[in-house]
Amino acid sequence: MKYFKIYLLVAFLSIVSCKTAQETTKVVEPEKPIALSDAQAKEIQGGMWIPSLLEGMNEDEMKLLGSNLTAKDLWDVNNASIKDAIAIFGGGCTSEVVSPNGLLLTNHHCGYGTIQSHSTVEHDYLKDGFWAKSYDEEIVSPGLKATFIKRIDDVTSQIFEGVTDAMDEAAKMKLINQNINKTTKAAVKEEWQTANVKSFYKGNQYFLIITEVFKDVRMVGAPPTSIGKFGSDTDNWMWPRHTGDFSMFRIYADANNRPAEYAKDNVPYKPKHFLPISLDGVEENDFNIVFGFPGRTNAYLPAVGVSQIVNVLNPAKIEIRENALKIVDKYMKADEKVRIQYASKYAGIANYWKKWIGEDQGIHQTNAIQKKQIKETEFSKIVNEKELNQYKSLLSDFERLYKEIEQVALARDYWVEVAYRNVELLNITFSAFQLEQAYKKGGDEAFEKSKERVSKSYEKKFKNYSAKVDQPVFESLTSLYANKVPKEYLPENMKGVDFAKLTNDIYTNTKFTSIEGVNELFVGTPEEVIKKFNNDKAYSFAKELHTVFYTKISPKYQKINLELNAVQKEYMKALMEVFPKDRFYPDANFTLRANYGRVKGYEPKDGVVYTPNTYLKGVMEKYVPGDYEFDVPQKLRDLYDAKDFGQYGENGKMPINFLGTNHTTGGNSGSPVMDANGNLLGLLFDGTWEGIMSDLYYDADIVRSITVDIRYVLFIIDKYAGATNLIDEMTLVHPKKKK
Amino acid sequence: MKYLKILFFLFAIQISAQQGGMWIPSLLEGMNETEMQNLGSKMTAQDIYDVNNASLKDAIIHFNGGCTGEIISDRGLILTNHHCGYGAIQSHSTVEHDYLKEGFWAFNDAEELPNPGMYVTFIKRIDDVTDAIFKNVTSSMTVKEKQVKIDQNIAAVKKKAVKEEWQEVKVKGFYNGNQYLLFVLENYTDIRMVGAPPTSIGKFGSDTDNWMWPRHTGDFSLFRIYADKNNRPAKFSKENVPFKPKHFLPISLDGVAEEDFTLVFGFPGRTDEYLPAVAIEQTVKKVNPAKINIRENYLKIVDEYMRADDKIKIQYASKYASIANYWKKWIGENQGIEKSKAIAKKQKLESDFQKKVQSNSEYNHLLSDFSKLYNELEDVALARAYWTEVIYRNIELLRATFRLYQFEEKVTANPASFEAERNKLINSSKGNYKNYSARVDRDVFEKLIEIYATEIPATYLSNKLKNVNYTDLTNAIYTKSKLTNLEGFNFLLTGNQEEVLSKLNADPAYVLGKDLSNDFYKKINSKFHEINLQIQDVQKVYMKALMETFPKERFFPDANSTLRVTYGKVKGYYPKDGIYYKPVSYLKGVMEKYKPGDYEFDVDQKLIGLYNAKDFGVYGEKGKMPVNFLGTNHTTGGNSGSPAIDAHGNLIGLNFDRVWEGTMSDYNYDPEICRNIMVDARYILFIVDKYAGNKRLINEMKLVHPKKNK
Repeated sequence: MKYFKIYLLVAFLSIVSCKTAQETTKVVEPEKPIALSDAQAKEIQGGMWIPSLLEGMNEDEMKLLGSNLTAKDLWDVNNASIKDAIAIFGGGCTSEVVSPNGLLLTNHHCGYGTIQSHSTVEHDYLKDGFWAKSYDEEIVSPGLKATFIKRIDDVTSQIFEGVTDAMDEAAKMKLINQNINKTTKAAVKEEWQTANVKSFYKGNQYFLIITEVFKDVRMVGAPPTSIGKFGSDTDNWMWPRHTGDFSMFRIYADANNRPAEYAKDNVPYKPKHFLPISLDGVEENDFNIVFGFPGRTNAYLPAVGVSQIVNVLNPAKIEIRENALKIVDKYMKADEKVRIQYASKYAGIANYWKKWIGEDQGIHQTNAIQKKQIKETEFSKIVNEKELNQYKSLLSDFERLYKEIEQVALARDYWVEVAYRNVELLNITFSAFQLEQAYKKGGDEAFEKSKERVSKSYEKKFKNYSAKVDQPVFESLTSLYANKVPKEYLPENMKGVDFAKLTNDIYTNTKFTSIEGVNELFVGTPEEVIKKFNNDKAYSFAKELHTVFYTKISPKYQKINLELNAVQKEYMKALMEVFPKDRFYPDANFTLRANYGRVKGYEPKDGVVYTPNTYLKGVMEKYVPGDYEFDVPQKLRDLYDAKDFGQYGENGKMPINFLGTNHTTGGNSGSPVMDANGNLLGLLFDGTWEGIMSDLYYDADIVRSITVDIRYVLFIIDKYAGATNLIDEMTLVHPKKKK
Repeated sequence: MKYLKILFFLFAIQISAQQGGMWIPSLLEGMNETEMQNLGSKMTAQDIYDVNNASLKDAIIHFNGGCTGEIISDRGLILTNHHCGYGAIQSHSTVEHDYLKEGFWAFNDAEELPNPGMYVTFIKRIDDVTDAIFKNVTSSMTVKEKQVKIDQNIAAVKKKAVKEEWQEVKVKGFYNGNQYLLFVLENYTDIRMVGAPPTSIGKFGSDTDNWMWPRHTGDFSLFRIYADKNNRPAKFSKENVPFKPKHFLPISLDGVAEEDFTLVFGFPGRTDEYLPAVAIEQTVKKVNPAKINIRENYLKIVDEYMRADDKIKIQYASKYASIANYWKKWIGENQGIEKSKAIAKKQKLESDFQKKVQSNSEYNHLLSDFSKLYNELEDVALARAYWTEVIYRNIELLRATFRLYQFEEKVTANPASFEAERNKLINSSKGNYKNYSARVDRDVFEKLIEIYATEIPATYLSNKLKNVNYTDLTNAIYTKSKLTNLEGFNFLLTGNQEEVLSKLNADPAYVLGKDLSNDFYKKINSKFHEINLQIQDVQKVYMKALMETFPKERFFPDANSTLRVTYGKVKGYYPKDGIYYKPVSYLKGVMEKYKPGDYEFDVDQKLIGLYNAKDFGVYGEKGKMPVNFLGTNHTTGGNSGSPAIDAHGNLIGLNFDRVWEGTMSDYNYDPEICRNIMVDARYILFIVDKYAGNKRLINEMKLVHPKKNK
């Protein structure tokens, strides 16, 4: 076995030294390649590329941007490559291996649930941080998984076997699903590996993905939230940012280095590759590449689709939340207890409110709709010229379907925002409504099962509930709903109503505004409980609203949406045929992707430049003692005052976060940001507000991802936490310095 | 010569950081001239100030006593800020011709509007008269005796001054009374309004953008000086003709780039650069926080009402903004002092100073005198701040009682003035009640009176506020006082003097207010002034001592509304980590801020049209229209309307504000973050020409291209 270990070590060294060799040639080169202009660079950024298909265009683009990496350095099925250091973390984030002992780095917000689950009153790891100084101290985290991608195979032809144009959509879907099952079953893989088939380009291409899922992942380290979540809700989506958003875990494997359930005898996982860490930091225009699992984008919607989102749906949702926020804000300012109860709810509502506003502004600022329209005109022209008859109706199909869906989509948003998200009483009665539905379907047994779940959720909800706050929200939002929801979706009992009176009546009489009231309702046989529900003023009012949603809104929405998906699939195919020279990446679908770009600041508005780096100085500027978002631990302040940054500082300053043009989205959280040689530069954790529309439309001028500088991560581990054991197992390199 | 140039270059790098200071224009030769040239100026001291020949100073005027203006044509055309001309523009506005809203443009001389009472002042000559002023002033005299003697000498010097009959003289103390200068002045009083953009341009961004960057305000207006046929000052007359200046400023069309030299010439009002650390500390650690806290509470309450009620929003928008304005300023001041480590720097200087003067019996006690006096001052200074903020500024009802208190004092002293005073009061109160909400004020009262009673140093707390329940007190006053509405107010003021005063003295709000006002005059203000006079004496000696002790330091006399030169360069800055403010803003930014119908951020259709058509004429720059720019010039209130001048003496902009992060420059100038804000001259020309279509004004100006090869 020792041999094997040495073999591994040699493999790592050769990778590292290989980079070093490339670096050396670069330094020796007498003159730098001609710098790419911003306009040139703009054309070759954006996109989330399939790592197994980087050869050719992507490889060339990366080189132009300054990369020394080959496609094979990133993705190689037979040899160790960078992809072997990248893992899905849990169910929705990305992580990377940074030591030969399976040490995993991801965001603090990705590890948050785990850190929270290990926290107690005595050991509040959220508040105080956590650092394992030895393997023994690492905390087992049941349910936490790390998933590596071993292989990706194009299986499109298998999946489409027997599928003909003559079939209707349902029949096609059925056969495709059968083929997927067959292909998954027949996949060539080791017994401990898993196979999955995923659709790309809106269902025009299918890939078989072979993965290894490690199930013994232990918690190793986390800074306190005052570092890991510094700036919290206020700074979310914002630049300048100063968050040390990282946490550390370790993958354990069985004696054969294979995935295994937790066992004491498991050993730290030996990765095929781990990322060396650069101590040299970043400068504006440096190449960087993000490798991870972006969740979802919609980059190929037609102009009419984007326009519906930003001109119809977003404004409606923004208006609803604005009304709710205004009321809640007023109560929070007036009453300390309400402030504490509603702080997190308020932030949650404000967060997407802010997102939608940003999305609308970004789409307008980049003229995305016009640009799409111009593209579509061109598309039609070529389709006509080349007589691609099967594509001729696509844009008018979109027109028709988006027109058809508009009212119901709007109604759906009104219901979701008013009845489900913002009026708490309506949300509470919705749970009760579901309980009644369960009873109707499954009788007493189903009732009891649901009841337990519902009463648990009630306990949580009522802890932070104030009827005083909710009542004016109810009044304002139900009357807004009645005024604005398309008439055909307005329940009878909301027509011609005096909402002030109605609200008063409901809130004075309902039992659904307190835990005691609800518990009272829950006493009795299922039949009695349901009867009591129906006699309650809030319930009987809301029941109609929820019924309209289930019987009228949702079915119609789903139906049109299916048709839209079918058109979108054809359109995707058509676009790629009509514009063969364009850059098309498949919309994100939580599969492994590479997104490259450059370190870059931006101009959010006239007269203002956001510089691409932030420093610890900025943490001190934001410091508000005792604040839940902007407190700074004493130790960190001391290190700042003493300028004790060790080898991690830069000209007497401690870098914290930086910006890149990388095209990322949710799911990319925790992704490694790597330099031109594949060394780790930082940890991706957010995008900026001005570029929040990048899920719909990417523009290299204002779309920016936000990354924790890896030197800040190391500084916190080493200088702040004193966890030198972790530093020691990493490989720290100086790719920029002359040897 | 090459060698010399290189030497000069090295020297320049070293010294280029020398910015800040407000210098006396007649004393620029030597250090200032060198510093300016190192910053890129091509001007000599004589180009700027020359008694015998035309120089820049002949184009600079003190505008109506408070602002600065400059002459930009050979027909006496004055350029100053919109906010400096605001009162005049407002006074000409009627419902039919709302020049504030729509702007005003005279298309010929006949359309120019006279402004009775307005005047502008030229500085003809500045003479050092220190010796004459200190004649027979001896160190054995008491402070009071000295002052009497100095006043006599000033009167004598003024009498003897050589001047033309139409000129005036003034003597002013500098360096806290260590130096005296005589000014020979010419005041012109026939000033006519020529042009003003609408407030949506001239006041764009209004309160929200005040002290802020990026800024996009076209803060300018145009006037004209008229003189008699001998070109001398004269009262308004139809026969008067446009004034022929000795010099007027050519206007550069070439704009500015970062690092360009800039000179600002004007009449800065007041600075306090030489206060001891202990004074700054008192301001930022005691007085400012007290005032900030009071206003924060006011703002929170009013904000809540404004959000809930549109009527209140309209009534209180402007009051809210003005209260927020200084609240913002004090916070900025405190942050700036902290950020520039001003207190630590002063302490360091003081410890050096103390070491050097240890054996000098005249100077070695100065710092301890300061400590003692500021210590004595602290409580009363705080009390004064509490009184001013709570009683006078933020609680409207008490402010009303204060005016009534002054009324009672006046009519008691002079019963004959009763009718006149009462009418004045009634007239001035109408507007107040129009925008008054007793509901809002009542909440403000309850909160602020509690802060007042609990925080004011105990010695200064009125008996009426001791051990009271604030809610009860508030209830009692707001339910019973007649002063919470106009009808009640009018009722109280109806009747003869005796009746009015007896009604007033029965009103619970008045009774409380009168007591508080009495306290202020008898206890707070008198003591404050007494200590302050002593501090001024120490400050005067300290100023002298500083200059003697550190002969190589740059000492400029604190601003005192006299003509000064301040130089620096065009420069952006880093307001906080991760953000850089660029030095120039563009019309694009106006469109980014545009909020249709908003009282601060509306944009005129015509301007939108010009923007969309990119119709910027010769004034644009690479398809963009510059609007404002930043410089490192050390300015303060009074510099409003000052010209920003390039290396050759051409006008490049119009000074109108400072940035928030640098508002502490009145105490401590720091070139890293202190920035003045100027309107780009090209934006002014663009508005006059393209927006207003007033070619005749453009034609009388002299537009030049100093940067392009001649």
